[in-house]
Amino acid sequence: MIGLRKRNLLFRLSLLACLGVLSLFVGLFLLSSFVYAGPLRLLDLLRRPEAQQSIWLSLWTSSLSTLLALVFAVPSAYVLTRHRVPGAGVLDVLLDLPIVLPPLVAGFSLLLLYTLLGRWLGSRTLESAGLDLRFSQPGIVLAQFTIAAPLAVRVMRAAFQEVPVRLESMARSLGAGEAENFRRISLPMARNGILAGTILVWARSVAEFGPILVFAGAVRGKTDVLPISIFLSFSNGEIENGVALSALLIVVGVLALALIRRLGGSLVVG
Amino acid sequence: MSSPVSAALEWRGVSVDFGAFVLHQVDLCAPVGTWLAIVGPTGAGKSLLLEAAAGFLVPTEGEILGHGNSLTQLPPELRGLAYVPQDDLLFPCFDVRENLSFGMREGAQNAASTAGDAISRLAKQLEIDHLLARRTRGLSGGEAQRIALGRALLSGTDTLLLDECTSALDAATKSRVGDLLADWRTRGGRTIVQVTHDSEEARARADTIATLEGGRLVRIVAAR
Repeated sequence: MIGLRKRNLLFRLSLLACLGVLSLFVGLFLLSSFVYAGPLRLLDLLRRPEAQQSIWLSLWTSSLSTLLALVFAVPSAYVLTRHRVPGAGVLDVLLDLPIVLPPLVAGFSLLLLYTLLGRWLGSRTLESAGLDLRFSQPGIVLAQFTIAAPLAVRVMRAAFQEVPVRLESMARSLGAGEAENFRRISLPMARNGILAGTILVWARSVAEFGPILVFAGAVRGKTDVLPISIFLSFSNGEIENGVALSALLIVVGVLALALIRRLGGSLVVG
Repeated sequence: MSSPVSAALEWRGVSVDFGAFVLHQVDLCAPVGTWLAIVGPTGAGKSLLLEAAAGFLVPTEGEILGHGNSLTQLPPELRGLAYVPQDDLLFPCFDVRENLSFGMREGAQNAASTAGDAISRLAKQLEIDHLLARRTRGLSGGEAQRIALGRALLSGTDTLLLDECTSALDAATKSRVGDLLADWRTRGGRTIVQVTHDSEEARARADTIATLEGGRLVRIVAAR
């Protein structure tokens, strides 16, 4: 009996040891930015105009790309969750692909699409219509959208799956058409999941790097969102600047996760 | 295919395939102005019959008719039936008053004062008037059932589908709600189809009692 208790205890301790080592590793590497420069120095670095320009650029581009992603993702997720869509399996894989592809490949594919559009429609046509977004700030939004929209579809689907289908059927049996049912029942019932998903998508957009680097480029003062600015800082040997911006991104991540947990969005973040 | 207009609701050879359970070719009719009780043991398929009529499930064969018109291919919102299910009764995103008014279509809602009066009057009759401003979380089963019933009554339907909708009420409240339903039915050709385990209630209130067993309709008898 005692032997069994000891074995149970040893087993539990070994599980806890694995968790402890992993948590320590993650905690240490996340804290390294703060330890390296010190909190006061970090605050000082973040007050510099170039850092603030990067922060502002990141904020508005990621907010706009998240908003655009939601406009398409919420209806797409709803229709995939509630209706029989021809080829739903194929669409599912298609929409998941940008999430699992290496980000550089996604950015490169976007660039190639623009090159092909330029060939088919003529580069001047694209430019005169204001649609050539390469190496521009609107291009940052498009590059972020490329990953944000499929991710938003994934997390919004999880949110709608939590809404009992029977409640929607009840609403319809009480005379609500499909649009009214969506507006008055499905959306409010999925609200917390949608909000949590929105924060997740926004945080991912803030952290996006690969597609922006390839599609919008890395130009100081023009397309240097936070991750690009970190890349430029390290490339130019401005280590402290890069460290400060890295620390800021870590803080953004922590805040985003805390908000998601508070909204009960464990579904969308596992 | 049309039915005599005297039938408010009719199942004509209706089969429903629900995974391991199958409802077999049910022929059943609820004439206008009558109270039809459907009884039978748990798992007999009583709720499936109502859900098929309400449009929650699609029959694998047969036809469902309302006032002589085929309902089988119609979406739930166009069937004109109000269904009160056993569970998932209320909309958690609304308070009790909003739940009650949900089924009141635009005409009734536009006349805000009339709608408000109707809600208040019915809430008082159902003894839920003290709950009107409350959220639905934390309500008892009996309170939720009376709110769902009130919502169905306020929808303006002439045919109610009730699935064990008074099972959580005490005997005295159940009797008062039964009286209210009986009164509702007598006003202008209104029909009630009620699934119940309570055969005593079925005999007391219904005109006709249909018995389902193992997914088959085995008996239809006059209650009184």
